Amino acid sequence: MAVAGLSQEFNVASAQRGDLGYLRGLPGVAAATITTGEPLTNNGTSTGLTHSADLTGTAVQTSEISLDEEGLHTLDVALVAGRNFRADEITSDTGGPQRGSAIIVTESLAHALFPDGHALGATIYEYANQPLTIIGITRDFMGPQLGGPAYHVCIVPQLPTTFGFYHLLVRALPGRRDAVIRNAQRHIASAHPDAGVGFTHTLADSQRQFTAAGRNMAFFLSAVTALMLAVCCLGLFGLTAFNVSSRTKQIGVRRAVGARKRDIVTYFLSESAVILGSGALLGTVLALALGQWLSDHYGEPRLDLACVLAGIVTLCAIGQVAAWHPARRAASVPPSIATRTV
Amino acid sequence: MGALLVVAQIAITLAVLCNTVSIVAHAIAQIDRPAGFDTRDTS
Repeated sequence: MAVAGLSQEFNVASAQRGDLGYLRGLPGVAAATITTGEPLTNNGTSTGLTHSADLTGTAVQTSEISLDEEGLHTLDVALVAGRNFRADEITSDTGGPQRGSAIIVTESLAHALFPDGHALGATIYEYANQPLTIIGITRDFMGPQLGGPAYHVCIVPQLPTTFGFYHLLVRALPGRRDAVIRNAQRHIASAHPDAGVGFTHTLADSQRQFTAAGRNMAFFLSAVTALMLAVCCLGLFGLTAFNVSSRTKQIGVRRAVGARKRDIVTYFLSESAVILGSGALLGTVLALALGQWLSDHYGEPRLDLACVLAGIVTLCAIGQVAAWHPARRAASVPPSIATRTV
Repeated sequence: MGALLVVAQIAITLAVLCNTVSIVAHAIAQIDRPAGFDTRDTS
């Protein structure tokens, strides 16, 4: 549930205290917290973390969310090492990016920062003058940012107050979700006459939305490619059929001088094989160039050579099947055609 | 002439086919990753 202050008088800190107080007292609520970025929404902050104060070396990309001491409990994410935030470590982010010095990271992020496994208690830097100490490591979970390394999540002990905007995150007891949503939505909306309150949704909704986008993309891309493949086969079919009908007399002569039916089929199939082969050669160059361009501009993973190889095999097989039908028709041309004048 | 056009068609189709397979495989792999917390609807 998102709450956004709409007037200068809107006091974020007291609104947050009020909301949390209400939600944590609401029957059916297991835990409640406040955050900047909802997980699985692809809406959130990302940042880079480095080993050294002068920010040399490669920064590890991660999404960043702020949670209070109830955050991990609300998300139901377990610590694998270290400890959770204490209540007195939670700061307000009013007055710029004054960050607390304690952070919690996911296993993936810890491993990316310290491949040797000494992440717990280590110091890393987000800004030059801003050392952060890793006090806890959680098992992997997806942060708000889903592109890139989705399991890289860094949790800072803060209440988001700077922008007058925050998300309420609630975990309901089993079977109580709908009632909790109804009550919370009604109360929070009426509690803040000078704030906009967004609709409540579940993490499952966010996940469905995110996976639906990916599935739709995969489906339409596959459909369009299948169509291209079909049109390509039609092209090869048409070309072979045209060649067969324009060489009918020539085929008759070959048959008359002793060529067997399978020689005729082989003749047309090898012609289509030459066309497919040159197409595949040119296509491989094009595919690699397109793959390079896609990974440069859209961050797609580099094109696997196995993919290219599989593509060539598929295309050639389907292409030969398409050329096979007109080639069979060519083989049935009778030798007597040779004696006719037209 | 006709053969050249078909060669070009095959080349473009292959280029698109390979990249589609690669992109779709990657997208499916991303979708299938677990979220890491309980997202089941318990109503």
